[in-house]
Amino acid sequence: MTPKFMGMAALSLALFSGSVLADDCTEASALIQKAQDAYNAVDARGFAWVPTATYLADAKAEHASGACEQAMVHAQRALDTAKAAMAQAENEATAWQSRVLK
Amino acid sequence: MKYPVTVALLVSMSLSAVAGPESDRVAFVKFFENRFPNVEIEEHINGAYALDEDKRKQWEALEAGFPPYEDAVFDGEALWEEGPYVDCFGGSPAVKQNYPLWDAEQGVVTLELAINNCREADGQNALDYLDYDMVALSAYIAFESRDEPLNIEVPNDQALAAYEDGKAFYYQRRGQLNFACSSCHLEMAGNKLRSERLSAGLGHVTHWPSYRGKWDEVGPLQRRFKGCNDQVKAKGFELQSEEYRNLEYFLTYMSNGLPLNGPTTRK
Repeated sequence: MTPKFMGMAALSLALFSGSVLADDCTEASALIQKAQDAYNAVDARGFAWVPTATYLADAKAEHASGACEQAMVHAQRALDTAKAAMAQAENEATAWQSRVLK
Repeated sequence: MKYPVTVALLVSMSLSAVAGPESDRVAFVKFFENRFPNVEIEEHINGAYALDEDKRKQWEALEAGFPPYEDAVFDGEALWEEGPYVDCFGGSPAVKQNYPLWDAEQGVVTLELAINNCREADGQNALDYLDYDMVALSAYIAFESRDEPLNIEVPNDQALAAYEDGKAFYYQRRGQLNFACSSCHLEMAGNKLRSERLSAGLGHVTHWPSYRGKWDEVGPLQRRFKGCNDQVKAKGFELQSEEYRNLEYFLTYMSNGLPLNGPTTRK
């Protein structure tokens, strides 16, 4: 194995692994943004949940430190809880009326 | 009169809009009369202590000695006398029974907001709503207003909209635990949540600001609102936000006629 070949192989490996990492983080970025948008929407309706904000903060910190897989996990949890909160907001737009004492 | 039926209908529609809060209040009181037939309605100003004999004895012992809100009342009195408040509040500190009130420009004006309005009109900075001076001033005003019956008015359609907004908030489930204010303090009032007796929503507003053991200081009603939101994992609102002021408006109206008994102590 010539030094030239070894150099080419090392370069290829570096480029490949770099692109994989970049892909993971790109995906995490997109998911964080999606979760943030969902959180903002439910917050505007006054029904945001505390855990969503915590998951989002965790995901952002992990993303910043390059822990992209973990960032994906927390961003997904943020998105899921934001969606559940929005379902609650939509339901409570009218459901509360049935609880009013008469 | 040419169209008596139309006129009668219009009058009744307009009356029903104004009568809304009063019929809500009557239903609210009736609910607790039925739920706790052995508890006098006025007793609910004492919160969970109206429903739990043992805890009431401990609380009464604390109130009979040197209640931990006393310093705040004394400090509030000094602040009242040296500040612009006498002019703003018409000469007497015994005004808490009229708050929150409706203002066309600001919407619902709570006592704390009125204190800041007064300060700003006098060229002073507005106080943070958790600032000790704010809490002390409101504690003194509450103390001087003791025994005055709550007298909240909903004078027009704009005020009614704010009241209805507060009512919706009270009955809407929020947070990851999916609780409304009414879940605990109406549907489950009197039951135990872990070791704590859930107080009735009626009378909830009469004794603020209060010294809470959990806070280890005197604090305002809206801090308690935020604490409840936190407990059910809902993102709370800023103190004196429109949401909390409207909630306070609704909740205070529900206790109309009950005597004030603040400040006091709570766990």
